[in-house]
Amino acid sequence: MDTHTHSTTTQAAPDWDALSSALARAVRRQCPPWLAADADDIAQQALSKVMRSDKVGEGKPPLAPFYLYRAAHSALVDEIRRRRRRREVALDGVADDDRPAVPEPAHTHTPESAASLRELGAAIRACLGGLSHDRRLAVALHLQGHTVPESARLLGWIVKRTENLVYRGMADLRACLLAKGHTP
Amino acid sequence: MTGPDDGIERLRAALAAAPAEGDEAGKTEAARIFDALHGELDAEERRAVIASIAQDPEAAEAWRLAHDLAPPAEVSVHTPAPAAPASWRWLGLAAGIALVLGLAWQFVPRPADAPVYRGEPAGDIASLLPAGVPLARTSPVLRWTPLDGARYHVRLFAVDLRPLAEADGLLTAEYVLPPDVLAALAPGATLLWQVEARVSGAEPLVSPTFSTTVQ
Repeated sequence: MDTHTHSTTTQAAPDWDALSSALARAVRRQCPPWLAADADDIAQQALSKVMRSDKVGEGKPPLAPFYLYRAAHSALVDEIRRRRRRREVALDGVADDDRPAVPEPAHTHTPESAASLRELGAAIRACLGGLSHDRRLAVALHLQGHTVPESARLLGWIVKRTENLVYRGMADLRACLLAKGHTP
Repeated sequence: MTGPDDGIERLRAALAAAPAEGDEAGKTEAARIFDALHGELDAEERRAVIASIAQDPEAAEAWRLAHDLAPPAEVSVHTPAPAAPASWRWLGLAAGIALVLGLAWQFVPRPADAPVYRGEPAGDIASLLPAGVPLARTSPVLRWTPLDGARYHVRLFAVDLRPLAEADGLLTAEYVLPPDVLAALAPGATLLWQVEARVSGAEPLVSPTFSTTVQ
């Protein structure tokens, strides 16, 4: 990107171990416990899919890190969604293939607190839908853990405006949750 | 008064635990989510993806995974100058032009009503375009790091220093190439661009000259 008089950009061969570790780590950090427990297996499945793809193979130039990570992310999301669908079917008592039913997760919450958390989550989502468009976007990123400057860059707004929208949007969200009987 | 971050972790955990429901679940493509975070979507497209994460737990989960899976920077390999192939000759020219542009910018007349009290705007201006990825013709957007409260002046030049376009008073840290400018650039052409940020009460901040290849 920057002008370098005597330099060029090349792609090193993919570091599969590093990518596999990054995938497993992401699953453990971002997925529910029943999925996180299989993080290594999920990461391996996703990685296998990327390595089998047409763009990766012997004699072919390695993908740039951006495209490699994008492909790995897509494969990871596919694998997680596949397992989630399979679990939903298995919990309904009808398996969609010959695989063993997915075991119940080891809960870190009591059944009551887990149900309460899910209810609160559903209420948050419903309340988000009632916020004004710009406040909804700012709050959505805030709830994903982004800082105000990060959100401002992603949304293409100035920081002050984004900060204001987060503040007002969170106030709206809390008022909505209270109205629905939740303590935000 | 309740602050915006009181109990935020509980709200985040609850949102992550909310089950996916309805027809919208899983509708947003993972690659599009990844592009919104790390790629070349323009601001409007990014906002559309962000709107989807507000409504769809699976999209939100894919967003968090994409955030954790930021691609590493590409490897820059330095090569000896004399052996550079002929196709790289323009790089030397581009570097020289960049230097001239940088110097010339210092002599651009400033507004007469520039503020008396001046400070340093926080941070530098850096390109936010992914390294080594040509600018897509379908989404020809130049992006740079935003500064709080800044207005931007952008100038585009061809490698022969021919002015291509200029825009002033931009409120967001991005600039979409006009269709006629884009049409005039051959595939693989190099574009030089520079940004000046003006923040009230501070000296204007001028970026380095960036060089971008057009798809």
